[in-house]
Amino acid sequence: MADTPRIVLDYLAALVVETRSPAWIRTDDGGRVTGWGGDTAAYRLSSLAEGEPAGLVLPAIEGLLPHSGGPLRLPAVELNSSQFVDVHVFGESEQSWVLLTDATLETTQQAMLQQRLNEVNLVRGWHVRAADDQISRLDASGLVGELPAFSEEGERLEVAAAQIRFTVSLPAAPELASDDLVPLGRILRAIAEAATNESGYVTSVTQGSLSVLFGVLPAGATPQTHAVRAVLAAAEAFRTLECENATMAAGIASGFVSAGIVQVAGSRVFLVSGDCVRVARRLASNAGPGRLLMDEATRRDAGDPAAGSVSVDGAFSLSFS
Amino acid sequence: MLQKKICMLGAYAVGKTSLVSRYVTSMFSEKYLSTVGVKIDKKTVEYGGETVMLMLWDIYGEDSMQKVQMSYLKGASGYLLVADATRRETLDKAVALHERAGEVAGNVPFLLVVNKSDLVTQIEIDDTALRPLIDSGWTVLRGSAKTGEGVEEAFSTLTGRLVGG
Repeated sequence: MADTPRIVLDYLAALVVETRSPAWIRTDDGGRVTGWGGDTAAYRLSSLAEGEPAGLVLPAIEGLLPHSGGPLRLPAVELNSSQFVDVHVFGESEQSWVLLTDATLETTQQAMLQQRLNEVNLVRGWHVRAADDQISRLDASGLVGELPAFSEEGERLEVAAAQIRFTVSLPAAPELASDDLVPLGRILRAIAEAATNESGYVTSVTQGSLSVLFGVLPAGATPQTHAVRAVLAAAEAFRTLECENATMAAGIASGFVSAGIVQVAGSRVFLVSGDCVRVARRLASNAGPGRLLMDEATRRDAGDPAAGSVSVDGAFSLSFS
Repeated sequence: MLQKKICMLGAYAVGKTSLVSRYVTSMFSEKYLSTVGVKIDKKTVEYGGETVMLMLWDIYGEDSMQKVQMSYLKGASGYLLVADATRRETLDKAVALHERAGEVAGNVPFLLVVNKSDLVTQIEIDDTALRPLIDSGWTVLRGSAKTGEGVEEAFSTLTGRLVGG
């Protein structure tokens, strides 16, 4: 810096003063305040008083004074709510200097990036564990040439998982005619429509159940409210179909899932992993015909639709696990 | 009044902020918000007839891209290592951080909290993994910022060591 012209140094100093709100505190060899200056108001250091321990005013320097040796820098210390400051401590004979420079802007920007990075890393970890779990259960002889490849993009989502289970009595296989499957198709369609009308994302359909996630697609109300509304709408649709000897039951559980696109043997699959998916399945299994069981979190966050026992023409009622 | 600086150290997303929040305000949130830099909380406790002001330095978690800057540990009276019971690799990170912390903070008291122990179906850090550390003299506690289990005990155990020497 020796060859840097004075005008450049002056400009740099002015820039720091303008953008970093520098403030300084001088202390004696006992860490007591002997002077201060700069923009102390920016850091709400109104209680500075000569002779007071500096650590009382500024907890970030507790234990650091008196300072000897080279300069010490503590980056991005949260001083007041959402205000970040770089703390610089350096010594000169029998006194120490504490310099504060504002770091709120870059710390806030870094926080957004760090949040995203950490979430992606967490999801990646969960995917690796899910893959380990899946692969450990695979029969080696049935392995395809291409092993699952997980995308690195993923999200952690707060969802309500609904499992809607139904039974339809069908004739035994030899007597089963294609017309016999019509009610089954109608039921599946009615339930899927009820779910998608409430911004549900149908993740799997089997002969006797649908799994739906609420909170993945944009929606106006809470995932729990949409989930309860969807189940009630499905129950109403189910009732109007008047299928003989058909029953329906449902379970809803809420929580966080990791979700991401997974590439398996050339196909892209939306994979969701989380405890609430399993809990919803278990609740649906335990719910008797015409019953919805939901966990405590769903009940709490569902709002009015789950405020109490709701009956749909006496055929479907809510109860809480 | 005694003042003691305690640093929270661990990998990212192990629950350092949640442990501090549970201890200081008795609150817990499921939402994950990564810590950037350091946030300092205070809590005044009574220990053995002494009033102690604990300054809890909640330092950002270490990941593969970003190492924890050990200058934060200057002047620390002790530190709390935190691992996530559901992520085995966070135990290795806690051990590595302990080695680096000792170079700056010296031979100060510390203990290890294995957080998220309420997630019993997902536990990856079992007793076998912890045995070598316990055998080498570490104090290890299982706990959960979510349920509050072990949180008070962790901080009061460490405080006792700081005050009692």
